[in-house]
Amino acid sequence: MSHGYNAVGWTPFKKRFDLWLLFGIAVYLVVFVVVSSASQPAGESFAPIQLLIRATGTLAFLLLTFILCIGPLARMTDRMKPFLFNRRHLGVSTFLIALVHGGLVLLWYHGFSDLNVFVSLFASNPRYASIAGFPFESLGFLALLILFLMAATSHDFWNANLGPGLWKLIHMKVYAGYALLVAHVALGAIQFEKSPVYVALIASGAALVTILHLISALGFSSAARPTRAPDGWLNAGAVADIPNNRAVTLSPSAGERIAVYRYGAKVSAISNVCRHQGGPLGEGKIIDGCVTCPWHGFQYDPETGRSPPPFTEMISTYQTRIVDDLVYVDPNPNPPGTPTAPSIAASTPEESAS
Amino acid sequence: MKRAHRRLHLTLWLIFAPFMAVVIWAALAERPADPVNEDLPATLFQEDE
Repeated sequence: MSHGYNAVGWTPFKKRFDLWLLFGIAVYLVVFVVVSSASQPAGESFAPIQLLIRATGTLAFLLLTFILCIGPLARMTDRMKPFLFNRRHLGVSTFLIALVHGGLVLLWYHGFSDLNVFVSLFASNPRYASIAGFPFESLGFLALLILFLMAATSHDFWNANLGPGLWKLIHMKVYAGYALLVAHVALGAIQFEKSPVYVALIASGAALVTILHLISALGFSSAARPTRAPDGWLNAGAVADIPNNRAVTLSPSAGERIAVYRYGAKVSAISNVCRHQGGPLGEGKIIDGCVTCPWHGFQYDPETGRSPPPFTEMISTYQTRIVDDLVYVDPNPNPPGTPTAPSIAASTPEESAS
Repeated sequence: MKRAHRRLHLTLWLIFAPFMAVVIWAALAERPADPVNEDLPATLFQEDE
């Protein structure tokens, strides 16, 4: 959080995660090269470096596909949360693998050219108007540049100094990077690789990522559009409809979304936008008395909108009231960090059940 | 996610989804067939009669 910067906030879990990641990468590369060597068609013989180019290329594609699936899946199941918390390590690893892939390609296919390898990369095949003969390497190079930008600015230092809005805007370029990567594979490997595995891989990967993101964008964006009381306050529904230590999210016609939390008999409303990376606080839960963002675990006191000391993040709070067991929220936010008394329900669903 | 970012996220996928679909479709449609040498006889080996 905001309390100073470390290169990486190492925890035993993060260390274990990274060790398993390294182990998985090594196993994939070895298995790919061994199996590919053993199953080469008669008359074809690929050099080990060519097999390594394919191994790193497919691995980078698979990893980026998985990384882009993490966000939407984490909104559907808590089982993906550990991957969400370590997504940046996966992203940096993907960049490094793609860098090895690109480096090997430059070395093997352009290293013997009289031209500079980068000039050779872009100029050796000028058939930009062709589909089958398109210089697909240039697409991969652009995708690699985007991955570099992601990896270089992945640390919270950049998030804090660029601001969450600009940082998020920059990191949304990863979608363009993925589209470029799909085009790179489709116009490259698919043109000369006859194995249906490659076609299935690229088509199913692109379809999976697209469907998950569209479901996430359309399905989860349907937060309740609240009705209004005569004085303009928003109706958040019945107290009993808010699960304990959880929230309902209101989407007012103007302004940012509002997360309305119930914890026991108390009801508080805060901004739905986490100060860290804009995570949806209404999809989090209360842990140790604090609203905890589902993306990276940033925490806020639901009654003040302030992160617990020594952290300094603050978000807006909203006035609430309960009338006839219905929760109402003032749509006008208080300044970030303003202490706001919670509304107290006459009874809770837990008490009624017992 | 801020409302503006949420809208941008959806817009981006509404652009990239058809882009990827068209590129994959075009790449498969234009994929060259295996090279054929028409000078070669249809049957290279004939059984002894």
